[in-house]
Amino acid sequence: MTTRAQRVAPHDVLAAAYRCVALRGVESTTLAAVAEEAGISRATLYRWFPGGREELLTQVVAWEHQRFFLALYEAVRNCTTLEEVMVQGLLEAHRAMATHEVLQMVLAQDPGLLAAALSAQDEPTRAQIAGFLLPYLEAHELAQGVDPLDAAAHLARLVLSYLGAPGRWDLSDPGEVAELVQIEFLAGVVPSSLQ
Amino acid sequence: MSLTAITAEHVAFGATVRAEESARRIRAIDATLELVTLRDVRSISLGAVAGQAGTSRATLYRWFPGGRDELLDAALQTEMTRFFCALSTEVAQAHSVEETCVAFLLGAAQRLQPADSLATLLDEQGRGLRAPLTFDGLDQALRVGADFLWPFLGRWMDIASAKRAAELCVRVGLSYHFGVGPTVDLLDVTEVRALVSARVVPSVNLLCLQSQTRGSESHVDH
Repeated sequence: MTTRAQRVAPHDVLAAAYRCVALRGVESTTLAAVAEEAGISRATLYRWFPGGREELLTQVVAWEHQRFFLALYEAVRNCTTLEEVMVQGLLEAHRAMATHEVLQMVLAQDPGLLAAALSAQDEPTRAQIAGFLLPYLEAHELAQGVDPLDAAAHLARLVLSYLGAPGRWDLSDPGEVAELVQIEFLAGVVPSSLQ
Repeated sequence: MSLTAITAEHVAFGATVRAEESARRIRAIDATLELVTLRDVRSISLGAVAGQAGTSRATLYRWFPGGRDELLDAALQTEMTRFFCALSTEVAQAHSVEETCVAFLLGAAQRLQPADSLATLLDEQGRGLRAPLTFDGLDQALRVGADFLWPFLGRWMDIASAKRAAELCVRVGLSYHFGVGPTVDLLDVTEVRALVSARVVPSVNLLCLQSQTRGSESHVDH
């Protein structure tokens, strides 16, 4: 007969930890609470996450971060042009972040934790976004001398920057986002429309 | 004191000298900065600063009743002043939008290297530039940088455009300041110039054109 612990995988622990954070907040998400929620012993939890609570929470952030972006790519799946995918992508990402209750709660309770955990995600996410945008760039007429790979890498950096801090842009406004994409993302990438 | 308040106060040409600043206070701040370059900030105590400054802890407390925290904050403010003053001098000499942005990014990168006391003090306060900034940290860095830079860009465009252009320039610089993968060496003038020319100037040209078009449209209405 298999025990409960043998049927639980580390992935399930991340889901359990996420539920703890969502229901009780960051501070109350202790290793004991997560172990109980996941149905495993604390010993097993330590074995899977030797770095303890810090490692666990960092991995939970990474896990949800990945889910967020996968959902985003899915949401813009039907966009056909570069402009469209960027505008819809930014609008949808902003909407998803603004309505993400757990994100907003963690931002309010422990912004330092989030910043630290996200910095490890920065490079892989950039690579992922760049990979996603590349086909759109290759299908689009580009300004002279622009390499699609370089442009994709650059756009990915900018996407993460604007999602982290929109500055003076209102990312809930389709008109502003269209203007933002045209001027600050694509001005040097697509052929100039200047008369 | 917020970073934005520091910028607003110190962006003027020449050093800002507060009337009540005494020689002893300045010596204490300089001693603190000397220690910051010599050792880990966390190990700097009021006693160590007193020794370095050739004074007593009691005297230090008189000038900095808030103790170590107040002293470190004053040291940070001093370095921010020096940073923006030196940067102002360089950026003011630029003769074009492009050169202004290049001078800004280059000058800022040169003075924010990990071993520099300014970077060290920012790190200590958790406002550091060692890891990619996001959310509040990024927002604050964008505002401080753009608040500093836009008047210089305002030499060639209206204020609204200058503010937008400044924020974009700072954002691009910060985006390339971090991380692995294909990045730009912000200490290399050729690379910075290429970055500005490819990633900042086209956008600035377009937003200026849009601003002019809107301006002339409203003229036509009259």
